[in-house]
This record gives sequence, C-alpha cells and structure tokens, in this order.
Amino acid sequence: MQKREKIDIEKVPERELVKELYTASKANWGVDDGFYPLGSCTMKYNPRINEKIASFREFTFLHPLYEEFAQGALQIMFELEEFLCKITGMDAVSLHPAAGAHGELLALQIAKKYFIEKKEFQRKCVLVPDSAHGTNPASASMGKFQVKEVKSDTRGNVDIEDLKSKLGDDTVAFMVTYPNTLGLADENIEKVIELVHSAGALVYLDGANLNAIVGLVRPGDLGFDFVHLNLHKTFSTPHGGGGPGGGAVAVKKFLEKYLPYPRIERKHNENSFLYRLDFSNAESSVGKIESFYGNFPAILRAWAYIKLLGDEGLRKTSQIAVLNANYLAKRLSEKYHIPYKRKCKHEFVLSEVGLGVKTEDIAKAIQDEGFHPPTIYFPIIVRGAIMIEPTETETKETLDRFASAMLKLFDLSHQNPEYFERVPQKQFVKRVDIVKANREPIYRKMKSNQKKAD
Amino acid sequence: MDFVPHTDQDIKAMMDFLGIKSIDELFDDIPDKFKISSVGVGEGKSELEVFREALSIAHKNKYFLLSLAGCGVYFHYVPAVCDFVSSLPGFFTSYTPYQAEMSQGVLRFLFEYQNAVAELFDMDVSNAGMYGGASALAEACLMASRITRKNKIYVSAGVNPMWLETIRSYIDYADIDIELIPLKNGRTTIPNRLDILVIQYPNFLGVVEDLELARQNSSFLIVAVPDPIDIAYLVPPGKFNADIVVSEGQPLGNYPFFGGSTLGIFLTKKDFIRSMPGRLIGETVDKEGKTCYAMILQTREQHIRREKAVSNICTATTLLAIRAVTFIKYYGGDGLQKISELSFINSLKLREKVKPVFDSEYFKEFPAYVDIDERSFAEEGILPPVRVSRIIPKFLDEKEFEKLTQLESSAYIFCTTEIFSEQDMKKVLSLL
Repeated sequence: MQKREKIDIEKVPERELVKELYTASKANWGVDDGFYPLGSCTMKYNPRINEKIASFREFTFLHPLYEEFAQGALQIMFELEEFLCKITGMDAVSLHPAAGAHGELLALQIAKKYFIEKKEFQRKCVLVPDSAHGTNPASASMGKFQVKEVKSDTRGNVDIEDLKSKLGDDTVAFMVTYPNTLGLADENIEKVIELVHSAGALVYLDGANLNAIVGLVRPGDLGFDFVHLNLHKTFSTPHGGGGPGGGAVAVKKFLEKYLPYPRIERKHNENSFLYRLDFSNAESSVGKIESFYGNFPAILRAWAYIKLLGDEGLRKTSQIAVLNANYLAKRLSEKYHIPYKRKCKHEFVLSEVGLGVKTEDIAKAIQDEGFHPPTIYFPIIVRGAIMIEPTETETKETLDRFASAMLKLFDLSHQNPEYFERVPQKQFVKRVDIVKANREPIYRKMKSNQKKAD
Repeated sequence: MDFVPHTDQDIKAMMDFLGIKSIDELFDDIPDKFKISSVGVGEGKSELEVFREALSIAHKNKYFLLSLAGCGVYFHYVPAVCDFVSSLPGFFTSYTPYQAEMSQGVLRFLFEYQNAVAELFDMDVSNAGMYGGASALAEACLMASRITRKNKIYVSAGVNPMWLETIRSYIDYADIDIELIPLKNGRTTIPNRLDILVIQYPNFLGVVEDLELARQNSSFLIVAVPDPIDIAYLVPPGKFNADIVVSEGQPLGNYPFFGGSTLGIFLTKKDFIRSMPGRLIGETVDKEGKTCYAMILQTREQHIRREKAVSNICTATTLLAIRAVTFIKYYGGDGLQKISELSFINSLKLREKVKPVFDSEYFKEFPAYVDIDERSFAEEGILPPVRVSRIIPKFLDEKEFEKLTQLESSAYIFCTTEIFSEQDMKKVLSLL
C-alpha cells in the first residue's frame, strides 16, 4: 500500500502543550470567570457534579452499535426523554439533534414530511417573526421553503394583522420564540396559535429561551405542536466555547412517528426494566440527522441537572432568572433606553438611543469593567440592540456591580466619548481588527515554502 | 437542590425595588389557565444522591477498553492531556467567541485546529468544526449542489451506512436526488462522467478506494474519511484534488461515548470558501499590531444572512475540536503516522488468520464470514466486531443492500487500532 509523505506537523512536548493550553484558557472568558450576560445564550453556572458523572468510564467507553452493553446509557436517555416531555407538555422527544439549529432543521424536516403525507403540496412558506433567531429562516431555506417575515407590534408582540395577511394555505409553520428574543412573553400567544392552526399550519416553538418558563407553563398546553430545547442553555450543560451542545426536539403525538430512528423502548422485565433501541418507525421517520443518538455527555449532564433540581428547583430557577432580568432592566432603565417597557422574562433588550457612543463601544468598554459583554446588534428590530440575560445563578451583588458599571459607561459616553476609542485596555489583546481579518482572510498559517494550491 | 445564590433578603430587596409583592406578578402576561404548579419530574435530590444514582445506572453498562468494533466509532487511546482540555474553564464554560478580545484562547486553538486538520488532509482550508462526520457529509452534498447547480448526487454504496442515512434525510429535505453506486469486490464501480460523486476512503468495508479514478470520473468530488488517523498513513485526499473532504473527529482525542461525542471535520478548496458552512477563524492584528484571531467571513452565516445563509449551523463542537488539535500536537505528524501504521499492522495480523470477504486492498477494517461467539470476546474484555446486520441502512432492505455491496448480513466487520498490544493480538487470534 502506498504510504503518504511525511506530515508536516510538529510534536509539542507534553509539558509545553499543557502550558500552551493553560495559558490560552486563561486568555478566554468563561462563566467561571464571572458575569456572562450573553442574551439568548443562557450562560448559567455549569454544576461540577455534571462533569464528575460525565467522566465515568462506564459511559465514556461505550460503542453505539452494542446496545446490549449499554443498558445504563439507554436508561439515562429514556428518563431524560420522559423529563423533557413533562417539562414541555409534549408527548415524545428525540435527543438526536446536536444543537438548537439542528433541532430546528429536524422539526422542519418533520413538518415537510407531514404535509407531503397529507398531500398538501402547496404548503411551501415558513413564517418567522422579525425578531426571530437567524437560525429559523436559515433552517427553513435549507428545505427550499420560502421564508416570510411577520412584523412585531409596538408592544413587542406578533402583529396580528400582519400575521393574518401572511398566513394561508401555503403556510407550513410559524416558528415562534417564546418568550421572544426581546425577552417578552407574547400577550396574544393564544390568538397567534389559534390563527396558525386555523390556517391548517403548525406552530413551532424555538425553545432557546425556555429558561424563563420551565416549571411554570408548558408549551404543549399553550398549543405548540413541536419545540426544540437547548440542553446547553436551559439545562446547564457547558457551552464548550461553542459546542457540543444538545438540541432535543419534543413533539405532540401526531408528529411522533416522524422522529428520527432509533427511538428508545422500555419494557418491563420482572422487577426491572429492559431498554432497547427501537427501529420500528424507520419507514415513517424523516431518517437520521447524525449517525447515532445525540450528544451523550450533554444528555447525561441534563439528566443529572433535572434530578438535582426536581420540581421545586426547576420552578425556582425560572422565577429567579426572571426576577434577575427584571431587576437589572429596571436598574439600567434609569439611563438606558428600553424600547419595550413591559415586564420582561429571562432577558431584556436596550437600544443605542440616547447613548453618546455606539453599542459596540459599550461592549468593548464593559470588558474592562470585568464583565463579558451582552449580545449586541440582535434582535435586529432594535436599533443597536444590547441584549442582556443575567440567568438565575448570578447574585444581586453581581447585578448591582454590572448595573453600576453600565450606568457609569452611559455617562462616560457623553462626558468623554474619546475614552471608548481606546477600550478595551485590560484584555489580552487590544481591539481586534475585524475589517482586516475579513479583507485579507488568513485562515491558515502561512509557511515560507508553501506552494499555492489552485 | 438548586443553584440560585440569593438570600431571602436579596429576593425581598429586589421585589421591593420592582414594587411587586410576589414573583408571580412578573408572569401576569401569561394566561392564568395555562399556569402549572409542578411539572412532575419528582423531588429534587442532593448531590450525593444523584452521584450514587448515576453510578448505579452506569454499572448497568459494560465498558470495553479494547474494541474490534469500528464502523464510524474508533477506540484509539485518548491521552490524558485531551482530558485536561475539558477541565479548563476558559474552554468549557465559554461560548462562541463573538467578543474576540475576551476569547483569544478558544480562537487561537480553533485556528490551530483548522491548520492542523488542513495539513493532515492536505486541503486548503478547514472550518472550525461541524456536529459530526455524518451531518458534515450531508452539508457537503448541499454545498456541492449549490456550487454545481446540480440536483442529483451519486453516492458510493461504500459510504458508512449511518452516514448514508443522514445524507438521505438532509437531501430529501432539500429536494435533491441521490443515486447509490454499487460495489464490486469491495470497491466502488465508478461510472464515467459523474457530476457530484461522494466516495468514502477507506470505505466502510475498509477498502482503500481508487481516488484517482474517482477524480477522473467526476466533476465535483466529495471524499468522506471515517477516521482521520487513517490519513496519517494513506495518501491524503487533497493529493487527488478532492473538492470537499469530510471526516469524523471523534478518534482524535475524543471518547466513543455511545456515539455521542462527534466532531464533523469539513475541508474544501480556497475557491469554495465562501460557500462553506460553519465557523471560520482568521488571523489578524489588534490595534497595536499584535497578532490575534477572530471569527471571519461571517456573512456566510445565519446570524447575519438569515434565509440566505449557506447553512443554519450555529453552535457546533468547539471543545471537541480543541481536544482534537491537542491530540494532533501531542503526537505530531510522525506520532500520528506511527499509530496509524500500528492500527494497519494489527489488521494485517488479523487477516493472516481471518480471510476477508473480498480480495481487495484493506486498511484497518475488513469484512469476513466467520462463525464467532460474541460472548466469548466480551468475556475477555474485547468488544466483538460488528455484524453487518446491525448496520444495514433502514431505507434499504437486506436484499437491496446485499446487491449493492455484495455483502451478506451475516458478515462481520473487524477493526483494529494501535491500542491492541502484541499480547492482546494473541488473545484475539486465539478467540478466532
């Protein structure tokens, strides 16, 4: 067999490698460093018990094609599916999706197949609110669906008249985020769902923001037909610098047969249970969206988290997440412009209006105050949006410090706008030149002897 | 228990500030009739109780350190330094590096990852990681269709069956057609003048496909590689001018984890970079001219381009990509080549005793008709090889699959890696 040429990758001595990794980790803000109020990302504390359990070798060394040696793993997955059904008020769950957007994709695959089977071939439009996450329209267009945007009204709700004008017998689904990306629970949610259903279409819940309502209200009861959940947001699994996460999809009974195979089946066996992978829905299913059964370490952690919290803890978690957000919103509203003046849920959005500098400048300056910046410039319907999600795991003291820093920066933006040209000063690098990075993209180390590949 | 740090006084002070008597008032925009008092997952538990319960459930699993099962999940040794990565809070408790100044650690290692992987596969550019090999291959098919404007994809029946199933659901959704190309003697019978061709190298039978022929006969070539470590020994797909290469990064320092710790490796040519899905990290400078890193070409992505984005992918697999580049740096090019060669040599040793189904060129996996007692392997602490009946794609029946692959469902697919010592190999041979 022909062997390749030498690979030009240097071996790094372990001692040096550990130093490199440790140094890099210190040059990177994480939840463990402090406040990380990234809106729509739910950067809550990651309990260490999760990590302890996820390192058991009885889990790490399992091959997915040998279910007979993985009864424990199947039990964890089955139990998590049950928990998520109860939390969402849905009838069936798939843990296969690797992330939220992957869950959206699965959900829309299901919707497409559902309507093809109903022979409603004319349904080719997916509706999304103008405040939707970018993944919603992107997931829809991967399925060659046409995307139509529904406007928000002045209170931040779905504009009912606009929704009516866009709904029709060509509508596949309306993808709703609840609470929405403005951090608001739509006051007309019942009406919205009723309208979509009366047009014969499905209502999807983008569950990225579920941290506001777990234990308090269930999407299934509200009338949603299907929903994705982010295990790495609501259920405390770490975000890992951008994954791996988990994007479970929960559906009502009539959509269950379309879920990816295999499902997990539990049977009574005298005094215990027997678990097995169940491929019986292979024919009706949309198929697979990854090789196996979901990001297992994330599944384990979410299971442990729900076990720890239980009914009381889940409820309290949502309540305090919302209390924290409202408290912080009111403190910041002393100076900042809040475009939608209502009680918020787990997050809220400020605008650039009234600031002496741009939103981006505030984001850079807050770094030097010892905080990770909020999500900025999203949702796009708010001018210079600053989207803040404190989560329930931050103390009042942290919120007060953050509020003071933000209010100080507001004043500074008028008194001394030049200050913002110099920030950040205290980070590992000064302001990064993004324009240059994109104008002459360097996505690979250049070597002097590198040949140009054409 | 819960992770709410507030004292009762804190909560009272916050409620007073908001002018509310009860937290419930914050939820009065949700219709009362939908409010529930409990979801019914049970009472909360202490950390000790959850630890013990998890441990007792874990003990219902039987784990193996040695595995003759491969088929997309590979038991290579995971060096301790890879576990160290997952213990570092800057990596595991951070998120997507939107704020470059506070995310240089993740950005730098993702850049190093892109670099190392591109070097290994000899391709121009790697992105910063996808969900897994299977969905990465599906995204490659969508990208090929976008670039060529062709609505049909020819896929070798030698592609890992689980990957085939995944491609199929993605391209069904995108209204693209698929045609499977049969194998003969374990190798893809590549017809002339194909538009988009997907071929696996080595294929799921372990056969090293003829990429030169694949390149000649296709105008857009996608190569899927089941285990990147194979490429440390084999001539890399970039040498054959592949247009897109995808692979599964689990073997690079990530545990098998019941198939749930996958990392999609995605590489392409620089001409196609703007059609590539996923995050991309670039080198740049800060205000003082210091080298640093940032996410680049984000105008391809969903958060900017929405319905016109090249993909919907957002959160992917950063932590696993950092483990992967750590693995690569730990071994270096020579070290990778050595474990690749050892995996191959162990497979050669096995083939001295077990005759493969086809007389073909295999790498570290191969199919054989053998009568084995799966239990006796398990008792010796060795995960048995995979019986083909376990992996037949569900959209094909057994007969169709047999016709496409010339392989009966009773065959076993054997896989070896470097973890088998000489003694282990003797034990394996004695069981056959």
